[in-house]
Amino acid sequence: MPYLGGGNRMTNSSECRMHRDGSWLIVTPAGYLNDQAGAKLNILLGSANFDGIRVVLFDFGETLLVNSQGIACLLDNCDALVDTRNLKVAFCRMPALVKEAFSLVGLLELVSAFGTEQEARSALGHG
Amino acid sequence: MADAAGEKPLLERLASDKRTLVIQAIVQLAKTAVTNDALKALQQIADGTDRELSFFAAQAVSRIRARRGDSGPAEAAPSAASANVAESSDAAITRDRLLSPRTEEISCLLTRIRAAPESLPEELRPSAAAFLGRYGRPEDAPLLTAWLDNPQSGLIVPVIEAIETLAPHALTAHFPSLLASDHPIVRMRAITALRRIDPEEAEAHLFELLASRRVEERLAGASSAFLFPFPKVKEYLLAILTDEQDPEILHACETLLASNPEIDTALRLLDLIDTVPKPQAARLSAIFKTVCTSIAAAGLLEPREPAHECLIKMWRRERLRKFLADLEIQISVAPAGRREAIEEWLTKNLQTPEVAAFIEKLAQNPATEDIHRRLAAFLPGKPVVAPSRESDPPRNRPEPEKLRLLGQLDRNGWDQHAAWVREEARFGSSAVRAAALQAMASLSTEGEDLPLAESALQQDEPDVQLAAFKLLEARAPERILPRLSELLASSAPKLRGRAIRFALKRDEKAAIQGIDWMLRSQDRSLRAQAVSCLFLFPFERIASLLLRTLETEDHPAIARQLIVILLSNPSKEILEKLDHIQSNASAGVSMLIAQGRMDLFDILLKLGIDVHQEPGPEAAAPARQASIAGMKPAPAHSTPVAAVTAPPAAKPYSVAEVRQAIRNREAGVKPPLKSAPQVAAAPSKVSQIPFTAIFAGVIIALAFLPILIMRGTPAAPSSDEPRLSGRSRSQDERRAEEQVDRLTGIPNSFRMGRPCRLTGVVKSVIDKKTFVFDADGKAFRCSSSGALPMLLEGEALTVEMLPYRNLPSGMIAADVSAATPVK
Repeated sequence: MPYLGGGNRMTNSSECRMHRDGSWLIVTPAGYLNDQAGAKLNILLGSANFDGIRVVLFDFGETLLVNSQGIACLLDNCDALVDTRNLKVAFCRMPALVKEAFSLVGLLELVSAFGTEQEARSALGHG
Repeated sequence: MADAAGEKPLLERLASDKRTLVIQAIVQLAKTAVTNDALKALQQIADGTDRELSFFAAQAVSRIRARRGDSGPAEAAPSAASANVAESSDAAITRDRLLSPRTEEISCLLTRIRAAPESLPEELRPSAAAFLGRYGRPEDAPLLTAWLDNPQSGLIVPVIEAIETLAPHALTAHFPSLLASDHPIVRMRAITALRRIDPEEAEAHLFELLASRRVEERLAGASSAFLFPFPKVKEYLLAILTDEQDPEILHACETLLASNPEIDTALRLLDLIDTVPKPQAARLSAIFKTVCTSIAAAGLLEPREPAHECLIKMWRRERLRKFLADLEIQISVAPAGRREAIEEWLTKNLQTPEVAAFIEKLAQNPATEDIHRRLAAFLPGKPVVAPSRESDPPRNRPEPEKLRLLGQLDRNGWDQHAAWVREEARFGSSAVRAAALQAMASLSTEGEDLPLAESALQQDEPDVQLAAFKLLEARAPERILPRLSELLASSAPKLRGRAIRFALKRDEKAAIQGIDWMLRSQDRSLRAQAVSCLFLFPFERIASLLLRTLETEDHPAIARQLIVILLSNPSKEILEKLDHIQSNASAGVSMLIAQGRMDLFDILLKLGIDVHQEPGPEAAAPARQASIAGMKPAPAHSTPVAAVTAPPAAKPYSVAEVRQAIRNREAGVKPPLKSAPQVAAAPSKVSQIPFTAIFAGVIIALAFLPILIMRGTPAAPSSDEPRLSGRSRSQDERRAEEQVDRLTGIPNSFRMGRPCRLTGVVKSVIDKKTFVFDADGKAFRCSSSGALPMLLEGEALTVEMLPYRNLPSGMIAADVSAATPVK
């Protein structure tokens, strides 16, 4: 199956983690990014302290799928991060289908896309 | 017969890790090999422990020996054997005796096998089947069908072959399990056998195999494609070549295309080469060259110059315009890799006048304007911009400087430059106005900006509108409402996306109506724009819209985007509905839908969703009419299942039935009992909408209605009319017409959907780019993307055009590429 990362059967569950690394905030949505996972993401980013943060990196390496509500949630958050907080937003390690979906919706025009976190750091400056 | 050099690649393939390839190489060697090296290699495999390979290799060895006139092990002492037939009748039946029987022992072996087939050891069944296939009678078929008990083993291939030879109809009851086999060779052999009794259904199965995500299945499909009508197979091969990377499959496609040399194939390969990422372009170029060689060998081109050069010139002369029109759609929806490839191709061909004109045209489409921005500076004849000076006041600086300054403006900068920013928001160029409004949105709080933003929202400049939208959304959203329905139908994706998100919060119904109108458009670029917005809608509200659009879509790039949305919102209900989708629009779309089904099924499996489905009457009925593409015809979704009276029995081996059997096997579910059909009513999700929301929605919809109606009745109906669900002309007809084109150049008689050159009279001039033209007893509504010479009513003209649609007014819409006054 070319689109989903793991070969194992997964459950319909999802989670979202976040950690700070210098001036970078790394957000890792895992599993199926749907409305519930989107709500978790909203809560997570709503509670984040953006003081000193320059770049928000979404690492989709553990994401299996992003549905319409998940994309709507990402769009809202990226808009807010870029427009309101004037932060750079970057995406990395997107599975093929997820990348295709982001590209279709124009999300990749709003953010910088990279293959890996290292590539993102090289391009946007370590933080 | 192959020589030693011809055997070498086949012998190399014996070491392949693809089982399908190894078996094919053995079978091929059996037919052609002559050397001792081949015999030695095959004998090694025959002596090996892999039962399947061992059988095929032993069969090959016996055939090669027979061809060479060698004495095989069973024929070691022919004189002694012939002297004592009675003795041989008591001898043990061995694989070698069955594969290479002596003439005098054939009847004895036949008698012994027929007398007690069940006593034959299991490992001898394949050899016995091969023996019966050669020497048996149709009455032996029941004996053989009893050996079709394990469709997951390649060892039943000789059994299938034997039954096919003796009595192909005896396979009918076994086709469902054979066609659903996990073993590509078994599936391939079953398809080949099915061809004898139901060629149409066999084609459908072949195309399902070609669409598979499994390399070995595609390889098996490509190998058996030789047996099917080339015009149909070609469409599917060209569809898979866009992404196919497996060297063996590419080689199989190349062989098939080159074996049926057609100029059209070469031209369509050129279409592909310019729109795929570089590595794939290199692979396709190699195939193109092989096809060119075979075209030259077949004498289809004048041997004045190399075939590939001749074809490239022909492509430039006859296909470039059509290719460029399609490219605009591709750019709108293509993923990054393909977009880069297209941009690179455009850069390389900037000096070509048609390409230069096309790049200028890209500026008018918001989805493509970024490419125009990057390439415009390199267009021939573009002036070089003078560098700026730091001391210049902002208003005197060149545009890039202004944009940089506006982009960097902070609170202090705003205080200093507010007046200049507002001035630029009114009078600047499109890009500068957008940047100025953007700066105002984030830095200004003054009320006087709102009328300015309102005015900017009404301009026909998407970037300016978007910036104004953001400003108003943040500070006075109620001022957007009067323009909302118009913005929902905007052709600029970013603006429309923003408008959709805004509308969804306020009036979902109007937003969906707007997108529905766009998806029904005849204009592909409008559909492409609409598709990119679909993701923003709640999926359950647009799922049926999406499936309906997919069924009639004829552009693979747009169809792929629709499928991406379906795959991103996986559910069993969507898979069931996708099963009912049948696309006759294009082979490429059919292929994508088949792949989409497989991907969606895999996603559901990975999500742990129960995908078991028992085929019911509503699944069976459409299967009866399975098309060449293997898709079930879509039933009217509104027709209740109960309304279908006495559905005729489905073919048990239809693609739909076999697909479900494969899914159930992959999901680890036992096949359901056929005697217990169920009416699988798809659960319909009726969302519970509060009354107040409905009431508010009705009021807002009524407010939007007049504007929506105005948008729905466009002044230029050429691009906005709902598409017809059916296609009036088949692909084959269109291809045949294209061939006429290439031989004759642009014809002087009218042909719908193809370029033609007509002489007639200007009936009326509508605007600078549109006029009504009478020629050939027909009225054409002609529009041109570029400037036309000054036209007068009654003036005689020769017009090069592409007529593309019958308008309700009785006129024919046509795209004009050149208009010359007749003197």
